[in-house]
Amino acid sequence: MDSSKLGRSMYELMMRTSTELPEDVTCALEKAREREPVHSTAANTLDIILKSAELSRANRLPICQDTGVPFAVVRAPQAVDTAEITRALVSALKTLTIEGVLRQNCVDPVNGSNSGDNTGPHVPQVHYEPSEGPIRVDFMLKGGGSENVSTQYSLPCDELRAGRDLEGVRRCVLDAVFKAQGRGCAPGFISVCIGGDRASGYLVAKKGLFRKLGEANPDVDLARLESVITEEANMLGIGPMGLGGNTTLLGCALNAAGRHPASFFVTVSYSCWATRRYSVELDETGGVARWL
Amino acid sequence: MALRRIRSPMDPETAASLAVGDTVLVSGRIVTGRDQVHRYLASGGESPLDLTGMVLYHCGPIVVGDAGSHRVVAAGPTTSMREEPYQADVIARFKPGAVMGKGGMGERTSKALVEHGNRYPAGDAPACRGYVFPGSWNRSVHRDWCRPFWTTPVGVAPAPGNPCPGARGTVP
Repeated sequence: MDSSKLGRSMYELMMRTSTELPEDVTCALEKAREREPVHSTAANTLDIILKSAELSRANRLPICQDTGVPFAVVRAPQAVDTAEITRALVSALKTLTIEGVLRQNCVDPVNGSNSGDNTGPHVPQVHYEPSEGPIRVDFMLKGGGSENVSTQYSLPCDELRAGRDLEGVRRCVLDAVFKAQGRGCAPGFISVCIGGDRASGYLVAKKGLFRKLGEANPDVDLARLESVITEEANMLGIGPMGLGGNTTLLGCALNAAGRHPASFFVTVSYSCWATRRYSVELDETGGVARWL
Repeated sequence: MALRRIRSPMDPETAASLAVGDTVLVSGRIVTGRDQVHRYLASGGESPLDLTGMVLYHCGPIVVGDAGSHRVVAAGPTTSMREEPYQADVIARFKPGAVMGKGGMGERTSKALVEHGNRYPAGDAPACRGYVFPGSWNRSVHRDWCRPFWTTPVGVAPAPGNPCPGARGTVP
């Protein structure tokens, strides 16, 4: 691989993620605006959101000042030097932080100091998955506010009268959306992991946010439940930025992971309206083959 | 729902005249502060600025540059609920005109706002960035803080196609 080409690809991937709202998210927000009464607070809020996203795209400025936690999933054949990809990601991260496209978001939890360049212990997160095909990099910037309202349930849950079935899952997800109110910057996109363990639940749920809004779940039962949850969440009245309205959720992605017989976790990853993620496929030289 | 134009700092009558559901355009001078600033102020710390009548904005902007040449790239609101433990005390001590943020706040803040005649406008996360004229922020750093106060003159959003001074567009 050509390291300078690879570096430019990672730079462009991160730049785009911070400054260009993905097309599926923009479309979902536009559709949501049409559902809101003209001149309502909800419609005005969505107007401002869309206008601001347009300005960010045109001027290559961050969509949100909270440029989140950098999170990457790399799929590559065994022969690929993954350390080289990590180096390219870290270098692009540091450059974009200096340029102000990314905020310095890595704070030492013990002494409160900010590393200043978005790197630190376990930051950035880069997950490698072996694959047969070309190198694919999925990159996400997920803001702190939306991460704070993400949550995990252990079923059965008395408080929600949620049992170990899909009805229990529905109750958990709606509870998470309700408790988030406007704090997660609604209208959000949620991805859920049904099953798994405490750790894999959060990882699978977060990775599920790479699914595009409007893309159907191949599992018929889960697809049906996704529609039900989205529809019911939009009846909660939380609305854009929590200021009231018919649009609280843009979409829901349900994922399943094998569970231990004794455990039944439901993990909800909440993503704000500024859902920022892009996926790119690289050619052998490290250049961008295509955007996915 | 009315569109209101107010200047910061403001007098208590202006703050009290704002109603729930109003859209507010702020110009003048505002001040930002997040968790550490609020904790500092609530626990007896002194402000390097007079906060009376000011719009206190819950915001952690992206700022680039060194001392003397700061450029604000983005400055949307952060989740206000994190300031809930401190906000009422900060309002009582420093009498800001309004608190601006997102996601709503709790009962203690609500009571303090009523008691002191202030208001809490909620912001649209990204939009506030458009409203800010970058490049003219001044930083006041207090020796005890990790997080500085930022103050800035604000105005209405630049029109589309009229990029902020902080605009960029090249890949190195």
